[in-house]
Order: sequence, then structure tokens, then C-alpha cells
Amino acid sequence: MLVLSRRPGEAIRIGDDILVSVIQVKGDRITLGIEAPRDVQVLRCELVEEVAEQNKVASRLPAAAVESFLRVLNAERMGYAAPGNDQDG
Amino acid sequence: MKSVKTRATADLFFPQGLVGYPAWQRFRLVHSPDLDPVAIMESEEDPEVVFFVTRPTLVLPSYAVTITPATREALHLADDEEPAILCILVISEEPFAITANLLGPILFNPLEGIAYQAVLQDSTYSARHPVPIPALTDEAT
Repeated sequence: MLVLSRRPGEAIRIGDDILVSVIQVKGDRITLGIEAPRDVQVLRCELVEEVAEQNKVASRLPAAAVESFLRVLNAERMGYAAPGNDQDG
Repeated sequence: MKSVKTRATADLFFPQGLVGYPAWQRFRLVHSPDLDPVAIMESEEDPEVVFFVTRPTLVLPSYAVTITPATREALHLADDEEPAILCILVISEEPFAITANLLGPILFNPLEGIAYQAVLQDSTYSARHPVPIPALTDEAT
């Protein structure tokens, strides 16, 4: 990883098409401006990680969870409301 | 899921794969009368990779995604065409719970099958939105 120090008003160019500018620093918060081609995604890492993590969990459902799910869907469809459900069915 | 009767399939191709999994590009979307409106999305690269998916508006009726021009182009959609949208479900036990990933929906061109998993960073949608079971057996929509 390349580590640089920048002050507000300074910028970093990445490749030919991407510009990252430091707009302001306030306390522990940095405001960045990013210019990139429209086909380049610019995303907050933690959101990407959350989606990736849910993809991982969703792709590895234990067989027992799948069986419960199918059973629950079937029961719901047949109108056997589980205790605690307060819908009319 | 051999015990589930299947009815219809569609093929999805994600040029960029799924978020975090660029190698998972080709999926088969399988519908079954036993599961509708939940469907199954099976990986063609790894048959053990299977997802439950459904329409996000069943989970959250107000769910709305703004499609950027870049995404529209990537999906080969004309200006007046809308993508089909699905969300991936997670089932957990102890206690039993179902959540939907509304932060990372799947957008696809229903005619061509080109697909893309978006990360909706301008929204406040959750990657683990709770799903009440009756929402998944609503056959009226």
C-alpha cells in the first residue's frame, strides 16, 4: 500500500483518469472529492464488505437452515401459522 | 435441493461476478411452484453455491433503486427499460430468522440476462433487512 500525507486542498492522481482531492479535515473526519470515469465504481469500503459478507453467508447456508426455511414456507402457505404470528392467514 | 420441483429457468451473466466473488459470473435462476415468490440462483461455476432470492418489494414495498446511466448501459437497457431486481436472502437458525440484502440488490436485464450486483451506498437500506415469513408467501403480487 502506498501511504501519502496530504493537506486540505491537495490531491492525488491515480492512473490517467482518477483524481482524489482532500477537501477538508475536521477533527477525525476527512472530506474527499473523487473524480473518476463513470464506469469506475467508487464505494465506501465498509459497504462493499457488508455486501460481500452477506453473499458469503448466503452462499453457505447450513442444510438445517434450508430445511427449516422450506418447512416454514410450506407451513405458511398451508395456513399453519406459527405460534406468535398474528396475521390472519 | 433435489426435493424441490422446478418449473422454469433463466440464465444470468454477471460480467463482474458478485460483490467479493468476481469468479461467480454465471448463474441459473430457477423457479419452483413450491418456492414462489422465492427463487433459487445456482452458480454454474460451483454447483454447491446456491442462493435464495426474491423480489425486494415483497420485503419492503417502498424499495426503490435509482439506476445510473453507467449501470443502464452495462445491462444493455434502453433509456425507457427497467431492470428486474432481486435480493439475496439469508436464513439463520437459533433463532430462526430470514434477512434480505437490500444494500446489495441484483439488477438484471430480463431479456438478455446480463446482471450486476449493486452496492447502494446512497441509501440507508440494510444488508440484513428482517423479512417476515408472510411476505414470502404473498402470491397476490
